[in-house]
Amino acid sequence: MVVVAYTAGASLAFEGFGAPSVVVLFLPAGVTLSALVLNPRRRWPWILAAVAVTEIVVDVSHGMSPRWAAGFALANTAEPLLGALLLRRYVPAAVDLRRRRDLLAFLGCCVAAGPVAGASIGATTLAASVSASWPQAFVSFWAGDATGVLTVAGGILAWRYSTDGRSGAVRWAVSVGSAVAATVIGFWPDGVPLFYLPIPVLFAVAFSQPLVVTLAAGMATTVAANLMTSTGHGPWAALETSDQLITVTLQLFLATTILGAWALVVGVAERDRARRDTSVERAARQRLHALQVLTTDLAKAVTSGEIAQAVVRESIGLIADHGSVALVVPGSSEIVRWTSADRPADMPDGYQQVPADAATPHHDVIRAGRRLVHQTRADAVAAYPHLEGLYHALDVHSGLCVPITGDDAVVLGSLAFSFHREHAADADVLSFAETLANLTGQALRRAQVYEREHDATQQLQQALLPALSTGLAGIEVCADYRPADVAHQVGGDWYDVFPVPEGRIGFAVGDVVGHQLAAAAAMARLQSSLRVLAQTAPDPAHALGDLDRASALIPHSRTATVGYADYDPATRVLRYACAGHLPPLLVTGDRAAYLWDGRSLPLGVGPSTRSHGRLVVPDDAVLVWFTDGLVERPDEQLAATMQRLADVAGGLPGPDATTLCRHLLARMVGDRELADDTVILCVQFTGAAPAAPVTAGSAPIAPGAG
Amino acid sequence: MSEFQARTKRDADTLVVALAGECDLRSLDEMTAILMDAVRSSDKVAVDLAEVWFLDSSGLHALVTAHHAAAARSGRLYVVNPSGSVATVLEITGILELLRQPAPAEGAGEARQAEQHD
Repeated sequence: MVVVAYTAGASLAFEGFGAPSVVVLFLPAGVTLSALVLNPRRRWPWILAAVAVTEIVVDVSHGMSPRWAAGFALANTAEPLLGALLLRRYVPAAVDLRRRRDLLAFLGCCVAAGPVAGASIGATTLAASVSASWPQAFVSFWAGDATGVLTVAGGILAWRYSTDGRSGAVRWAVSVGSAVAATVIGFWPDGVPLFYLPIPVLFAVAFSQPLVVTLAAGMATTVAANLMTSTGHGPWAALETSDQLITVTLQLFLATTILGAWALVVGVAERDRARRDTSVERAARQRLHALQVLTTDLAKAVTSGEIAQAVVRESIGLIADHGSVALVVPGSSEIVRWTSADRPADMPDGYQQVPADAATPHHDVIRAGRRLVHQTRADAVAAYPHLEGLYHALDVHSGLCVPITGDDAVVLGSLAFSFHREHAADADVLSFAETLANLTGQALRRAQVYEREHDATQQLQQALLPALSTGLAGIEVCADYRPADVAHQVGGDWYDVFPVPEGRIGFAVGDVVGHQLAAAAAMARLQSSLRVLAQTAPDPAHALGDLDRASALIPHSRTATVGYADYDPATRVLRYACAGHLPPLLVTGDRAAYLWDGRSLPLGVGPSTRSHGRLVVPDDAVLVWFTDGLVERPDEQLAATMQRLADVAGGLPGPDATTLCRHLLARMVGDRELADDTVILCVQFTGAAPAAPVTAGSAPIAPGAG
Repeated sequence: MSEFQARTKRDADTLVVALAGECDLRSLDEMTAILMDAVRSSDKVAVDLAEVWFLDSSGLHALVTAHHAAAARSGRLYVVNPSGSVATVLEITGILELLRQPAPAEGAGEARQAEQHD
């Protein structure tokens, strides 16, 4: 093919463009170069050999001596070899001549450098064979070859590496035809200067057609202009000057025209590319931003329900017209569903429980663990005939449902998207939907861990608190424990009531600092330690001293505060001590007073002298002991809330423990959100000990009291 | 929305950590880290509580932990300017006694510094 094209081009140079002595437009230079650029290097020797042989055959058949033909053969192989080597060095991969960088490399290496080498050898051969002036021969040889490479190699490379869709034959014909027509018309009349006519035609083609069409039109213009000139038409034919000058200036004119058109193609291509990049980038940026917003909201969402709401609210609208999130209820076959809020008024909206056996895309995706795509409404209706009405009402024409998977590929739920147009679930939408499902899955896994831990902590805490349904001799007890409402704030507050030797009753309130299970575990160990230590300690001060030493072995117990008291129903003597804990409040009739004696440092803080307060309590007095959640709040002074607690307690004439406990909780906490755990323990001293000391069923309270 | 802030500045041989806002369970980890850093970088750390309007058992825990760390390095950490509820909590728990400023008897220079803080 190379040989045929080269022969045709070389013959055209001889036959069409003029005498062999004057080197003219040489199109085969572009053929050889393209052949080298488009073929692997191992084929280059064959191509170059074929070209050399062809050159010699054509030259000799036109009457040239084989000696000089060999010189031209050398010139016409060295030139493309140098051009191709240089081009491949700078552009090793596909050559996209619409890119500025590739175009510059092509011009520098193939159009400029290669032909310089060829022209040097060619001009030397010419000077030796026909005694032509070397500089003139060089310039015209170079101009002829460079224009040949520019038009032919440019066109071939643009065609081979074209990424545009194929242009129709009509466009080719119109573009090339108009270029030829403009050239012929422009070069026809000798007296009227119209040779510039091809310029606007080529520019118009460059603006509207792919590069390969533009270059084809440019090549047609070049061939036509050279043919017109060599047959005596046009302004160059009329010039009274040397043939070399005519050749050079004509090729220069054609080259600048084609380069101008080419630059226009590059400019248009770059503009289009930039525009396309911008819109793709903008869409990507919007989605990225939306994902960031969603990630933030998912991080704030604590429960599965909050996560589903965040997804429905913020992400479905990014890619779809409607959608919903379905979650499997843990430990059940039911699913719950949240739908986007953009439904018609008569449609079910928001949160719904859906029976396990319903037939919906959610159910099938959750069951199969694989995504489901319906690209047309007919597809969707075929799969779910009973949902046709819904699809109609929501104007759904395609749909997508992806599973949300958790650890070990367990399906936690699914995300459904529906669209108003057909085939909306393209690759972009699919990958975005998968991303959303992954994000949702991560958030759900975290939420489930949290929910499990939260439940476990609360259960543990509740289990550790004593049941106070039955009475001990001489006292009535009512207590309450309110876990914090704020996430992750279930701490380690406790209360306890238990018998101690010599018929006394011990009771305690405590508060461990920290989070979740660690605090609850520390609380449990402190509580049981105190129960044991109180059995041998002579008084509350010693009990707390022993507990302080024991706490060194209990992780997370440092700075725990504990209040401990014992009461002897026989003597009505109450002894109490506070290791950093808030003082107990003694309510007697309509008076309430804090008991400020027996104070010492919290556990694990340092050596502290422990003492206890001692008093004889009147009948029916109530001791109120609590943890800081009841009285500490950021917006109020502690002294003020403690005073308020005392006022509320004193304002209730002759209350029993249960009434007082409920009343204080209602007045001090009410329905405000608790930032900290809150314990309240009310112990009423009922006076004379009844005959039966312990009622059966008081499980946490060991027998032997009394 | 825990509103907790801390600023650290050096004042002669004392590193002053000025806390502000709420020292509760939500700020516990941050507060502990800041105080431990301070204790590691100076033998004498003054924790300014003037801007703290809420301090619960978690805040106490952080102060006591840092106090112990300082003592273990033969340094000391004390609190200045507690007021309102913060002072009440420190008093009720007995921690104020533990974290009180160095007594004037320890040196006239320290006494003058203490006055500046008040």
